[in-house]
Amino acid sequence: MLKAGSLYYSLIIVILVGTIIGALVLNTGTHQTFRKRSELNSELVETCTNGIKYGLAFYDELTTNKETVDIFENSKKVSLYKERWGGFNLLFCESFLKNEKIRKTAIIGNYEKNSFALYLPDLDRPLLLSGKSTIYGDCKLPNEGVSSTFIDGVNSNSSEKLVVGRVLKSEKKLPKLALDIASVFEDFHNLDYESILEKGFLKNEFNNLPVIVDMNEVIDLENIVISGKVIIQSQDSINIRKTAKLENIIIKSPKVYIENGFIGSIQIIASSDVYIDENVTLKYPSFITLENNDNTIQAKVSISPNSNILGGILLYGKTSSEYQNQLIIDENVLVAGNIYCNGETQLKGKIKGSIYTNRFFLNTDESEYNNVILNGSIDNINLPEKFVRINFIEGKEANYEIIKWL
Amino acid sequence: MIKASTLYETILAIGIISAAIAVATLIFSNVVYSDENVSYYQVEEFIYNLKNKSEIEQEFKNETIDYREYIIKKKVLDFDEEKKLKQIIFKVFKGKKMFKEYHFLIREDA
Repeated sequence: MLKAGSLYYSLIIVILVGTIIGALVLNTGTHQTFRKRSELNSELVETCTNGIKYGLAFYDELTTNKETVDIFENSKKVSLYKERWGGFNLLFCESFLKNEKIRKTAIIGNYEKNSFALYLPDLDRPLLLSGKSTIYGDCKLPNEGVSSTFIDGVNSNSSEKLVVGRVLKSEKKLPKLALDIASVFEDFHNLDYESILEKGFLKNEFNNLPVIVDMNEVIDLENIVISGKVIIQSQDSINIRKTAKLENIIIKSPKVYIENGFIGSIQIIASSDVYIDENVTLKYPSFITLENNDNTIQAKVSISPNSNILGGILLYGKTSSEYQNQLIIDENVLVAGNIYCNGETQLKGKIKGSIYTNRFFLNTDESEYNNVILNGSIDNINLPEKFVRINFIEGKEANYEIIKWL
Repeated sequence: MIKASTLYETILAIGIISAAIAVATLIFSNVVYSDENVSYYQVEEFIYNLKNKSEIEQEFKNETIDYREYIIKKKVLDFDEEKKLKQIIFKVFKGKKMFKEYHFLIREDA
């Protein structure tokens, strides 16, 4: 019979070696599992990226129903569909592989190569520039063209060209709008404003049904965080205080007021009055829409000094007068993007992008002037490369690009 | 105090330990070498760079590229001419064996 001396020690060594190797094998196995998952994820991301590119190219052909596409016929499939969110187009893409899926959602816009800095319909009045007014980019102007004028003791800088770009003749009316503002949803969740106030925040992902907060009385958005697919709606008016943190939501009310110092990214859908106080920044992409169908009121969007509106502004409606809507862009205001004003505009600030308006006006202490810009500027040339905008105009070639990932 | 062992016992113990270490090494090396090596990740990174370069510089030509021990064949197809969409296929070969295939959609700038 064997004595257990060396065997005893050898067994201990075997167990020790086994444990160490076992631990190493386990470690390597775990590492491999993670690697495979990470590879699967990166494959899903790449498929989804290809899906987004496919979706951008075929956006007009997409519907609001999910459509599964095998882009390269290699069984890496994606589901694509589109939706409207206020004035924005949304693109949804989902890629799936082995029970795993990844979803991407984006606000998309148009990359415009040959847009006009200014479109002023031919209503038999020339455009008059005064002070430091400048226009960079091609324009479509009335037959009478553009000239400089002397206002409030200020003449235009005659040494500079009034319009840096081509001047073409405009039509009698503004080009037709291509936009339909989607603010009515058949399916949605209704929520009390009180319940949001209690929690202090509300976040709703864009792949969910919209959450609508609908009230008859005035809503004061104060000390609250709201983001995502949420519509705050009042039949009276909505006041947005600077303490509110709002991201991607829709504010819908006849009257909207934004307090001095507010910073956020919102869409406003109004019908009567939008007043933006000083030092407000509506981050890109934000969007102001004013639809005025009432002949008895002059609807107005007023932007006070030192505010920035990054996105777009749209004033339209079925009124009989061409001047039923009014847009006021004050000194040191920056609007980046496209503006379409089926009405009149007072421009004292800066537009980086383009403006379509029926006419300009200027109210000074001494007098009122028609089709005059004093110290305002429009620049459609010195924009960031591949600046993606929200397109309003019918008939423009669609060249979709991502504005923002959601 | 350690007990003295017979020669027979010692040889048997050495045998058991050697066998255990041999089996362990075999299992361990099999598991470790079944994982991809660094060059696998490097070639993947290289392909993503090639794709980005094609997109930024709008470079749509077929080519064969040598990268470390791999051969990469790049093929450009018209995915949709009207929409100006190109499909780029990268086939990675190690020796004569195709190792992996990558597909990308790229939009041609107007």
